[in-house]
Amino acid sequence: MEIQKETSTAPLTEPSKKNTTKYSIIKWIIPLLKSKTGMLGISIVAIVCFTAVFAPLLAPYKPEKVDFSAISTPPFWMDGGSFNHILGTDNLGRDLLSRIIYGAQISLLVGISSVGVAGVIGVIIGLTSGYYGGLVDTLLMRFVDANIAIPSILFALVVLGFMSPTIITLIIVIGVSSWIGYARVVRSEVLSLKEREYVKAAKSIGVRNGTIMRRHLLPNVSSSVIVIATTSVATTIITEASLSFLGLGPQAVTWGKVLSDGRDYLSTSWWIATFPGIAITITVLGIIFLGDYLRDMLDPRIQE
Amino acid sequence: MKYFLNRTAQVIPVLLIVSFILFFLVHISGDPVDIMLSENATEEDRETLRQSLGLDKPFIIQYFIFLTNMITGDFGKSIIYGQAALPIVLERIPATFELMLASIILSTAIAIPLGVLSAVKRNSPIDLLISGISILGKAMPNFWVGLMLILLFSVNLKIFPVSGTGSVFHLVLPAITIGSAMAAQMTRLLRSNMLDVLSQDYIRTAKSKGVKRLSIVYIHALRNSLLPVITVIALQISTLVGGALITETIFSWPGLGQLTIEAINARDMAVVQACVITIAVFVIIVNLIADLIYRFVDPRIRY
Amino acid sequence: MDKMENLLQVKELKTHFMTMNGVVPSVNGVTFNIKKGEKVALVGESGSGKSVTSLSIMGLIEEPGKIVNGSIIFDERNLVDLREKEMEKIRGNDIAMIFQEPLTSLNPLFPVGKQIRESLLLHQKITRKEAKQRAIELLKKVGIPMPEQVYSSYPHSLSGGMRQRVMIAIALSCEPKLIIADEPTTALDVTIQAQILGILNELSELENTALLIITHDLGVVAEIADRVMVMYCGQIVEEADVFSIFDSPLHPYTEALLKSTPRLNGQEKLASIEGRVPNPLHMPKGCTFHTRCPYAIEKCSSNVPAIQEFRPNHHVRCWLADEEEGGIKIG
Repeated sequence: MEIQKETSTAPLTEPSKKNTTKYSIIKWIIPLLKSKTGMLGISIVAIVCFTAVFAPLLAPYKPEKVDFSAISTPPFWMDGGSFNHILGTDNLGRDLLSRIIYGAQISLLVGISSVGVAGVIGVIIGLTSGYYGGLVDTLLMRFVDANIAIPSILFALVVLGFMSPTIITLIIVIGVSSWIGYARVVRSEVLSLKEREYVKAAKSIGVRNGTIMRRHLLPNVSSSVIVIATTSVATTIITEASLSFLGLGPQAVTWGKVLSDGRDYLSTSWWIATFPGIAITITVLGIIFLGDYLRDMLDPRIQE
Repeated sequence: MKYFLNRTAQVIPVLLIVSFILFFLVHISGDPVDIMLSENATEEDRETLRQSLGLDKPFIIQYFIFLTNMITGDFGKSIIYGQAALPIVLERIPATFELMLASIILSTAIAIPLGVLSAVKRNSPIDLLISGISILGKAMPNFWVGLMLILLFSVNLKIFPVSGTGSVFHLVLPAITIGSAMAAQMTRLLRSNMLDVLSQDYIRTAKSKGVKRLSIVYIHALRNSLLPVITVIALQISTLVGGALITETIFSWPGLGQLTIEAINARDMAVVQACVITIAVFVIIVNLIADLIYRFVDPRIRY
Repeated sequence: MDKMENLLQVKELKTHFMTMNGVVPSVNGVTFNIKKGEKVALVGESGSGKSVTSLSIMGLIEEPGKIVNGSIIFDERNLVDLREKEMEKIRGNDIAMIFQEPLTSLNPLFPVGKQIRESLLLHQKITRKEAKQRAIELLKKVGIPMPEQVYSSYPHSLSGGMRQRVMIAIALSCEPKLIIADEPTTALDVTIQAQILGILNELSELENTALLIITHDLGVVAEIADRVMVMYCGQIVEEADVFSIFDSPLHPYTEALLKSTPRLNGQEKLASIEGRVPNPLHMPKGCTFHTRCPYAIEKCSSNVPAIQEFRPNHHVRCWLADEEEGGIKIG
């Protein structure tokens, strides 16, 4: 992050933002062009999203298409490889490139949706516990402690182990196992925000609590939430891949699944496990860069 | 000492919540009777079993039964092993502990010099290189790193065994797998803390005393920069244990992680429960230790 | 001025900071001398370059800052040319420094005794035991009660005044020839300020140590200094003995500074200096003070005045003091 800190200018975080959109767009683009890693991040993310959306057009084969005449074909530059299967095929002769392209769909879908689930739960709980304090707050803090004690992947494993893993359950489970981060940050921000003059003023003139939370608190925590959410997408993509790798993912083509298929053929067909891993790494790298950039832009206070 | 007792007392509600979450998960995950009996068992058999397991009682009563059993160390019988679950789980602890310890030592040995170098040579090519590698280390999925290490060192170079246990050589690859992620995180943290510390007034004081550059970095700045690292690593320990679950599976390392995955796949409830509680206790203890180290090193909060 | 007596000679020193927005000439051609055992004050507003001057002498200027010109002769050696290794032997041993913030200037993780001892062990050939003994003596010397106990206590358990005494003990530890004190009392309560200045004054006289006090507070100057240098925008604008400065300041900036300082007899109304310190990236042409100077004439905004001896041992950098303009008469 220091890399960007020096190249981009930190914005002012004002309590009430009523910037005109035109102005803020310019304010956003100039530092983005200046930040090399920010540009790299946003480019990678854009390419991955594009790939996921247009997978059917981009992929040379259907991901499930089995071809027994081309089992374990190596990538094109190796002996026996050909441009028919640029990255080679797996043990069932399925085209690896197509599987990775289609894998982007599920990985991104799960990654983004579960972040959405976690974000909504976390923000609601963080807002209420920070604003009202009391029992909700005490409970939340104990939950945070408990959350630290159970690795979230273990939580997801236990739940998925006893459920039939579909994409929906996967999204919910990953979401439910990772909301605490948002709740913690939102809570601590709300604790300081509610002491601000304009919140106190709103309270004193009888604005209802719900309105205060929605109008005054929510907009002010949104930048932190966006920053956490961005980096969380990286984590959830890895979590999803890990679960799929352990055989607890959905019955669909995901990066983790493709990678896991290659595990048993490591000594004969190294490419099956290697390329999906590279796809995950590059995507996560892009998201990390984007997240770091957003953090510098939106909220320089948040540390790792 | 008083603090230590206080801090230990705080563990109890945390464990209560963990046990409750665990119980709740098991409760909603389906009828254990279905798993324990064959499909052609009669409804009567099911009912008897249900009663003997206390499953006919209300939810909260069941929880208290579960809790009291748990406190006495009784998690029930393992389906796979046909014996009490807890001893099976406890047996696996040394292996996991060995692996974690090796990873922590490895990652510290990597992260301290790299983090310091990166901060001292700020914005130089070497700093960019180190920062780049550590971001890469953070981006690579743990299990993939493990597979790639196997591919490189076991399959191609044949230096280290693919899996199993028994010698120091067996420990190397899994320790690198877990340690690399930890090292990446530590390096990044250490770098930014170090940069912060190096700009502090007391570093300027040390310089004005004529202290040599190297001593300034390693004596005056390192200790102060490591403090926040300890806290963050402690908070991250559960993520690391999560990584260890998968790493152990890949390398067939006979630890807690491998057992947990095995038990989940076999739907061996007793073992799963015992594993989760054991892992939770392990993480809590590590956090406690980290907290005590922190207090020991930082006189400002020592009593 | 007898050259033999000079301990420190700073000549045409320029320390510039190469920032992203341009070059900041924090110190822009500073020349002065300090004699053995002399107590000199360097006065100016924040941003005038006085702290950068002191850090330049210590060789503690860091990126993006750089000494671009001039020499700093200390004990017949030019510190600007010395290598880091040689500079390390001088720092803390021949030249010691006391900083503004006693709260943050001590390492929070080490007992104070250890921090005093460190300096001794570095520069003198003594055993740890002797160093400890010496450190406790130093603590006693700077007026710390129960020095044995304080030796092993941590900075956070000491008050600001106590910590500054510890800093003085560190500075004195190797009997340096020069102590640079950068705003040593600014962060302290008024009563503590007087005590600290008293100790500093007394001990430097006792050991015949030269003292360079950097401050914005003319009260401090009056209490401790023999001679005063007034700094503005990286240059020394006036230099004289302490009485001349207070009784007959020549530079309009010095005059303004004096007017803005509260006096005990309190007959005058406190005035603040009009305007702001100019942006260091866009220094005004001519005399840097002309934008704020109530007496500015046409020449001031076009030509840079040179520093000259207006009266014996009283130097000033101002057009109004120029012979041709007939000299100024203020106060």
